[in-house]
Amino acid sequence: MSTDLTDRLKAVPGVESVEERTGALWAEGPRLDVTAMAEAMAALGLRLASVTATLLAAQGETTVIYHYVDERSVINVRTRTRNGRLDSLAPTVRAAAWAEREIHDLYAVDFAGHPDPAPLLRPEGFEPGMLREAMCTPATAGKAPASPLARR
Amino acid sequence: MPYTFPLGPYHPALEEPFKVKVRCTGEVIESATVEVGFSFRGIELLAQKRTWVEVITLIERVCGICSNTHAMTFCMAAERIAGIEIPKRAAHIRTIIAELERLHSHLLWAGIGAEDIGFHSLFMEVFTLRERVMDTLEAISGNRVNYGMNRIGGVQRDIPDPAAHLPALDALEKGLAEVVVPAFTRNPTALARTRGVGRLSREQAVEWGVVGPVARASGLAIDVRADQPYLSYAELGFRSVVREEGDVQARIVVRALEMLESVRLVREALLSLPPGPLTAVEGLPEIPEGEATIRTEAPRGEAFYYVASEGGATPARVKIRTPSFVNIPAVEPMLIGQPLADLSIIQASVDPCISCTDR
Repeated sequence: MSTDLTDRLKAVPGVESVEERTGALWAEGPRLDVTAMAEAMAALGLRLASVTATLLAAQGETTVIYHYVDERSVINVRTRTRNGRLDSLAPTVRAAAWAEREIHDLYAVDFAGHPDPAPLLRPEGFEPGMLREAMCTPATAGKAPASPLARR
Repeated sequence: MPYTFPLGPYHPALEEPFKVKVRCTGEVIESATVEVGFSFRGIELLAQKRTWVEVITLIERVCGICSNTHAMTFCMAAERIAGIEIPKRAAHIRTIIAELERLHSHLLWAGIGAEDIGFHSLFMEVFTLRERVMDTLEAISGNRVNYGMNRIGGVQRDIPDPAAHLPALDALEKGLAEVVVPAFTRNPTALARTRGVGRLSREQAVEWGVVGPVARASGLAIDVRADQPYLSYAELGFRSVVREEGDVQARIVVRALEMLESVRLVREALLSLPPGPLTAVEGLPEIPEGEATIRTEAPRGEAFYYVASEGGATPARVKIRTPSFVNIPAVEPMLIGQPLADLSIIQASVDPCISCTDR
């Protein structure tokens, strides 16, 4: 990864650290200005590939990771919701539109300013955040798979 | 007077349930809205409740067409976290299965595309060829849909007699070069229904963030196999196919020529299959705490996985971003200004996989 890219990531308001591991760049910014981040990434010519939400608890805040790609490497920028909200990137980044709608449906994160916050995956009759509680329930799977065929 | 026309969620033109709602004046489409979510199964949630080994079987069910891509990409993410380097023979076998999967996926699309423009005889030709690919996949893996070839650290099955599959590749190459490619690129019926139809400009392709053959047909030279080579692609060499026109015809040409490149890759990999073990890990894998992102080039474009481990028996998070998730929204700009009669082939031209998109 280029040191120039690392330096430019560190200059984004709210980014506290940038490190390289598991073959990618990871920027951490709990109080990240996501709009400024999106502008910086656009200026660098990076493509938004995906957005991941991971839950801290069934209630409360959510970690959101923006995954950017420069076609030869992946740049991940992690932040955290504030009162369950983040600014929407969708008004300027089309690739964020469906990703944010999905995260709202499954994890009830509000993306302020989303131009079309209609349900994407959520069926009628379900409230936003339909996977939150189930995601936070501890897995009960055993160490080994149930099938003896899978233990070979 | 403007009217609204819904295509789907259940319609003969669609392989799987999704909905394209268009607003027309006369025969011309003025605006379009795509709706998905009819096949949502919560696979990412289920992946947190299964062991690392069980998740491979689960993840393979994300898609019935690019099933191998998902199992393979998940295994690659787990290997990245655990620092496992798979043996060269396993990398070659994964490459062979991935390219055979691309062949059957592109041929499936070509058949459906032919049917969508009313070219039934071409559909029959294409599906006859596709059977050669399915037979090869079945001969190697024992399965036609979910191949069960991947394990964390390598592959489950060997290809003990690589030369046995070469005649099928020869027949496939001949059929592609003599029938499929000329039919789609020179036949007046196919050209009339696809040339200049459903354009997505290079600027729009960048704006909508499309990937795979849809991006390459709009002039974007992006392909994970070339840009961030994995498995055996760097060793085998790889030629990406790019077209500038951005129409349905360009998407067809990109897929058609990619199939010839896939045949070459499979042949090269079979002929140069290195000796050695099939897996770097015996028994159940131990995945330590960590996280990784992995990109692979699925038949429809970049598949993106984020996988996190807390060192336990199950993954802590598995995020799946399929290529169709970013390609399907781009149907909207492709449709504007187009005749309603072309709606079917334009939506089909992105090769939408709804099962993948909804997960």
